[in-house]
Amino acid sequence: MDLEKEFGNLHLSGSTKDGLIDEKLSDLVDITELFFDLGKDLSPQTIIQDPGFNSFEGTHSLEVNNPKLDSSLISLTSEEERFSCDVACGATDVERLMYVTGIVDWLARFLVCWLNEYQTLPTTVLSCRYVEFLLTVSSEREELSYLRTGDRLYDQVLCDAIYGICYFAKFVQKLLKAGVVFEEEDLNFNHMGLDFLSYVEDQELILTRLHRSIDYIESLQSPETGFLQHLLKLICCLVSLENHLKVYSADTTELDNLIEEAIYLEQQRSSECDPPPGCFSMGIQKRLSNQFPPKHLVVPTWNYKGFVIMAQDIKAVLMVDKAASMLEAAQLASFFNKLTQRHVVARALFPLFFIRDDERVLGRYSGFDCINLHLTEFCATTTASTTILSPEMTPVLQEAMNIMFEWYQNMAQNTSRYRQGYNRQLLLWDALHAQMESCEYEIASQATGEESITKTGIFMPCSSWVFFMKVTAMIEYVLKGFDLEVYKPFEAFAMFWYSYYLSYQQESCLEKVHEVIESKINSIHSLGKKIKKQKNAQKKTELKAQYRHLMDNNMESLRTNKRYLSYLLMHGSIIKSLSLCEVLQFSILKSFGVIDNKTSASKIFSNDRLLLELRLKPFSSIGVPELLTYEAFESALNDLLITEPMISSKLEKTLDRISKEVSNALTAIDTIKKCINAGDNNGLLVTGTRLVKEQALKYYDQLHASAKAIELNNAVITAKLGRSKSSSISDKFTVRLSIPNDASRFFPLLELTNSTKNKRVR
Amino acid sequence: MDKLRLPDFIGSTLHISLGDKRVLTGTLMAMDCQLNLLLDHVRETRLDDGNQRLLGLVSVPRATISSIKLDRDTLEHLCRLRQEFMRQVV
Repeated sequence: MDLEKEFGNLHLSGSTKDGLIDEKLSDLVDITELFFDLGKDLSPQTIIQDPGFNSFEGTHSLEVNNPKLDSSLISLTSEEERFSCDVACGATDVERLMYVTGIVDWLARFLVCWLNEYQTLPTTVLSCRYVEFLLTVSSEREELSYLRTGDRLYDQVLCDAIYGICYFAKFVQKLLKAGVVFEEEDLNFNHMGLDFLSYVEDQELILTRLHRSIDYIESLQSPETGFLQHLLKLICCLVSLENHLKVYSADTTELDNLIEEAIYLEQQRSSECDPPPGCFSMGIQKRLSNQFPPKHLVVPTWNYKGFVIMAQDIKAVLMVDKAASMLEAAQLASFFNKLTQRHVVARALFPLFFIRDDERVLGRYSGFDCINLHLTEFCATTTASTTILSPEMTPVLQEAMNIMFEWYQNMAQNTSRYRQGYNRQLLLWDALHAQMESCEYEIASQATGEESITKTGIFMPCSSWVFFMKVTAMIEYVLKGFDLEVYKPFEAFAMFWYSYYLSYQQESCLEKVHEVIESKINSIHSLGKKIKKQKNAQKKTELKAQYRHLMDNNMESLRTNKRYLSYLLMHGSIIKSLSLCEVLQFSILKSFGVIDNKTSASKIFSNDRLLLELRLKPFSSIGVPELLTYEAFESALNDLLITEPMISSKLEKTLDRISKEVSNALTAIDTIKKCINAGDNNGLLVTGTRLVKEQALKYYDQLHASAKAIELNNAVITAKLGRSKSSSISDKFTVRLSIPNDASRFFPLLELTNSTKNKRVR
Repeated sequence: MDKLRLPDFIGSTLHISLGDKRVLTGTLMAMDCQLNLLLDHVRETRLDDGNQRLLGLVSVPRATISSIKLDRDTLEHLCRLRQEFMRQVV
């Protein structure tokens, strides 16, 4: 912080320090000759360095007198050099209006370049001389300062617009500082040591002044002012975005206004005005503290629709406020950023809006409520609630809450961080699973009732949920690797086989929970039969009361649990079937010799076992489900290979199996889609996707396309390879992982392509 | 002063004048056999307009160096340290 201040103050104080510099220099001793003499006899390999200095850091240094690295060498045109903020550019009123419009227009479009197109502040907004000047002067006085050109358009309107833009940038800076999104990776906030209005607390002040300027422009009654008016209105909307974080407003009025203004401006291309010459330049990179090489300015395209994207993505985030259950909130988190990476502002806002400063979820639930709801929405209300309320569970639930908060935060990460986040979570879920299981077992053992006893032993609802979350994270981590194109084709078998294995484990867990829920429902129903059979009037009354209580308090949630679990089972079956299809297609291709699960790379420094173990390293310390060994993978593949005799009929059998799995997946997808469309109150399943219906449908559409593509691939493979092995086939074809149009990136196709080299590629 | 060795200057704040009216002031972190220097926490001062700014980690090729200066107190301190070191060795 102090360093930042020092950075900020340097350029201000520098020009007044001439005397001081001379005085300091006079206290210095010239050691040039000594230095160079000492260096005469150094051997060529000599490096003298500070013991704490890492030479690698040296690669990031800026080299003086190198035009590519030395920002002091930036050459400015005479207009840029001489540009003065004390004079209003433009000879006539109209020309001045055009210039001010041009500057504000560029600044607005630069915001889109900065936020939507990952550009830097110095090459966009901060390249404006007025922005640099006003921020510098204002931070000196710690209050908003204004230009003094004598022209109200400059002295008021331009300044108000710039302060509005900077206030919005301050909001973005606040989002960045919250640590949800990452500097450089998601967003660049190189403020060049300038203070972005830290001394302005009052949003109203900025808004009032913007409205004052809108009124003034209106009063000019000139047709040329329309564009500028809309620009100022757009800036007002940007300033108001802060409310979503400051007061956690879920009101989307200003976002709708922003969309409206952006659409209007997008259509006004003909109103484009040029800013005054020299107003935008690389000068700030040369003048102010700067640890980066020179970068040319961005040329802003006509990009007002970028604001629409931002506003719509923020609206998608704010929808979470309407979540009627934690399931709906979790589904929104799962889907909102899954298929396409959302705008950085929306992604940064999501966790901050969802988990408030006081750690209350959406301002409505405590952390404990949140985890309690997650658990009870997943599995039997009665059993879970008994367990949850045990004091022994408190620290475990606290841990569960922390991991769940991390899970929510991870959902808003950029696509690469998302997978990394799951990697980090795996161990947390695993540790929680062990902790939860031991705690729950203890509680269940002490319990006298038979509530938690099932055919297969003690039922542990909370541990089942943790296990489900853990395995889901594992599957997501594995399949996300395909989306990020992390795997080579030869690795496809191992990763899909592992995903199949995990889906199987997940299915077993869900079936067990489903069974318990069903037995609870049945036991309530059987109570009704007991009542009918009961002869004793008093006992009958007691049973009736018990029955009524259970029907009123538990039955509905049990039925919801059951329908939700049916959805999870169906979703899991899609992943399982598609993974198996991929595995089987791989086995066919390997049987014909066109691919292998071994690397073709040099084995001097590595081997296949090491490569597989490295790939599965994130799972190596997971207790349950146990990690498959290298031998297990090898044996699974060998069992699936099609070998002599009767290759043709064995091939047919494998192809049939694939078709059957595809058909299962398609049926499940169709059912889920119908239920998403019908809503949770009207279908066979509870999907919790009410708030992300469109995204959820698109996700299942993509899985549908993948299933279809896999089916088609069967035909392509048999057409190309024939139904009997031939030694020449392996030289003719190679396999690549490709993603068909509109298909899921989690299930790329093992596509046979003609080999360009007469060599087997793995 | 003639007893000083190059490693003694590591960690010292050097004032390096470049040919183009710029002075770089920063902590010497490393140098190679050609006396290309690596300075950290560099402050650039333009002598023509007095403007100062921070640049961070900067590499200074020998060919760009006009002069290297060191604060008198620091130099004396370095000399004392070297003498003390020599006494201990002897």
